[in-house]
Amino acid sequence: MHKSIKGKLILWLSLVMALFLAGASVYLHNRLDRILLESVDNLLYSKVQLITGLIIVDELHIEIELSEVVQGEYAIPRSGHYYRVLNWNAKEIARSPSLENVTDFPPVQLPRSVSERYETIARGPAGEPVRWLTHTFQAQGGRYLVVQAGERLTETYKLEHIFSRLLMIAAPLGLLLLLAGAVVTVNVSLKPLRSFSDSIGSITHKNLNDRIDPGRQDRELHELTNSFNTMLDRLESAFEQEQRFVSDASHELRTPITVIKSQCEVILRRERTPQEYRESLEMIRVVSNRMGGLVESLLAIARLDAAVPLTRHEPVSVADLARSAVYILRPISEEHQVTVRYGEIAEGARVMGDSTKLTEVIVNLMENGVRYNKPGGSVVVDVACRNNEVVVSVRDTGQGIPEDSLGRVFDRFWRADESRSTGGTGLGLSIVKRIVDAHDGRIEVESTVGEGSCFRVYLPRST
Amino acid sequence: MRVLLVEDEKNLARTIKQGLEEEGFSVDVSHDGEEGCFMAENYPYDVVILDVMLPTIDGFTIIAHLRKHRSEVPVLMLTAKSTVQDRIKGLNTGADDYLPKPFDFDELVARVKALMRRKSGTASPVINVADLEIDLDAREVKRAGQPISLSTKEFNILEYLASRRGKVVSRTELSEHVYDMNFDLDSNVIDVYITYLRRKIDRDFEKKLIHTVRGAGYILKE
Repeated sequence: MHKSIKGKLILWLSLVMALFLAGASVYLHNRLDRILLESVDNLLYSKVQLITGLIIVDELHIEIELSEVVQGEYAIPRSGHYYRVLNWNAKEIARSPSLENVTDFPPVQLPRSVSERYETIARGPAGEPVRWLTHTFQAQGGRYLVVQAGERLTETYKLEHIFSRLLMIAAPLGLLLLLAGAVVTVNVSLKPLRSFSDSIGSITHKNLNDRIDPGRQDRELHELTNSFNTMLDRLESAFEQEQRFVSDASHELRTPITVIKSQCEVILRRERTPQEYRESLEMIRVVSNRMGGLVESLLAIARLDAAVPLTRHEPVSVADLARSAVYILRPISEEHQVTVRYGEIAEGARVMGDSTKLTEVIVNLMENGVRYNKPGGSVVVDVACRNNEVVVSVRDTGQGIPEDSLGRVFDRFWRADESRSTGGTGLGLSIVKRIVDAHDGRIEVESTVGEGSCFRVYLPRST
Repeated sequence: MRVLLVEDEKNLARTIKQGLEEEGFSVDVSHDGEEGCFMAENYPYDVVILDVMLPTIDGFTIIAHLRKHRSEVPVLMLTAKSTVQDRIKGLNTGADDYLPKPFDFDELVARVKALMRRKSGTASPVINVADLEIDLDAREVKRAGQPISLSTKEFNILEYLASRRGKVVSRTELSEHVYDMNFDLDSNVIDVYITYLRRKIDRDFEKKLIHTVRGAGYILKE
């Protein structure tokens, strides 16, 4: 239950409603009690005024003028209306007939000043609760007298009781009805979410270019819809990229496979000399190796794509890497008659990363510089420190890259010429870029056709 | 039966050249688009086998160029790029046939022969001239029911004469279509082979089919 929006909503709504209803009931109940008591007190006060007006005082004695009013309700025993009059000695000098033999009264002190006091005593003639008003006043002659007027509270209490009972029925009922309303409201409110989730459910890898129409969703879901559509955009592009990769890769593998297949078919068409078989197998061997290298590069790319973390993360001296690269490339440089050397190397250039992979980056860039070069040309590597970065530059005097291709240079399978005659797999630069990215660096290229290219790798410097 | 193969993958080119030559074709190879285009335009080939992904200019451009310059040479596209769109593009640009890589070598041979037949106007693989029967596919020759054994070059010359039967064929034309570009035109190897052919085909029969047209060339006719 605690893991559901609906559950939470209904729970909180019920809590709030219950609290509200409970508070309201308590308040109403108290208010009614007070109002009822107030009206009784008001009545008592007017009665006291009445009775006070009927008292005649002279030097010798006090007399209460009998009147209709006084005689009416106060004459009937246990009528619920009572009065008492006391003199300045606190001695009772009169009481209403309705009082009968009651002895339970609010205490009366000897009068000293004019005052009023309200009290409830639970001892009327029938044992019922009575509300008394004790009124001290100054009579003619300066003496203080006390009048006490009382009203039965039985009816009041009965009213209060009825009201309580009403509240006790109405409140829970009300809560139930509100709860039912809340459930309906919550269900209706959450319906757009359900329809949204249905829309999401209808998108599979087959129709990834479908989007959810924000116009058909409630306004509150627009932001969610847009985020979701953006995510679909990213998914779709990643999917397309993967499909393109698979198709590119299989296309690349077709050529070596064709060579092997055709060579086998042609050679097997007739009897051959052992020498011919040997030459044929030699060609197949060379092509198979090339294919193997291609598959390795593809796997490397796939692994880098899967964002596998670098195998090592340690301080690396870029100067050392550059020198190793030059050394590694010596045979190839001799084969192509291209000079490979280093220019200016900053010895303090250090980065955090994987020395093997970074060496691969430099070697790859320089190798390209050799392969796409002319005999007598050169490839130079420099290492410099600039701001907080280490900059590795590889410059060559090769054939250059046309301007409209510069943006695609780091794409998979891109080649300077669309053939395979210069050797290589076309994956080198794409692998280079991924390694550089994994080191939080960036790579740039400048090139002029016919003159040469310059690749620059920027890596964050480590102290 | 001269074929131009434009393919930049050197091992593949070598393989195809060897296979086709063993089938009796003469094969010239170019590894470069521009060079291949030049060769296709300026030398007479019976079929051009063209890869699409080439250095300098690509196969589609070459086909378009050839067709624009009124070359009707049959072109067979051979390429690893084999989506339907690529095939349609190639055929629309003017290629005559298409074979995706990897392919069966037998199929390559069959398609090349079919293209040649289409060009020379013979739908059937058998050419008949009087009682001479030339089976282009099986590379067998019979006259009056008797099988005649010919060497590759002899057969090629006969085949070319037959495809042009009734028309005069110059020595130059013969050498161009039967030999690759390394052939030395000054030698009279053609005459020698014609002599061999005559010996095998005409000598023992009354009706002579191979005739010399003085100053012009040779002609195969009844």
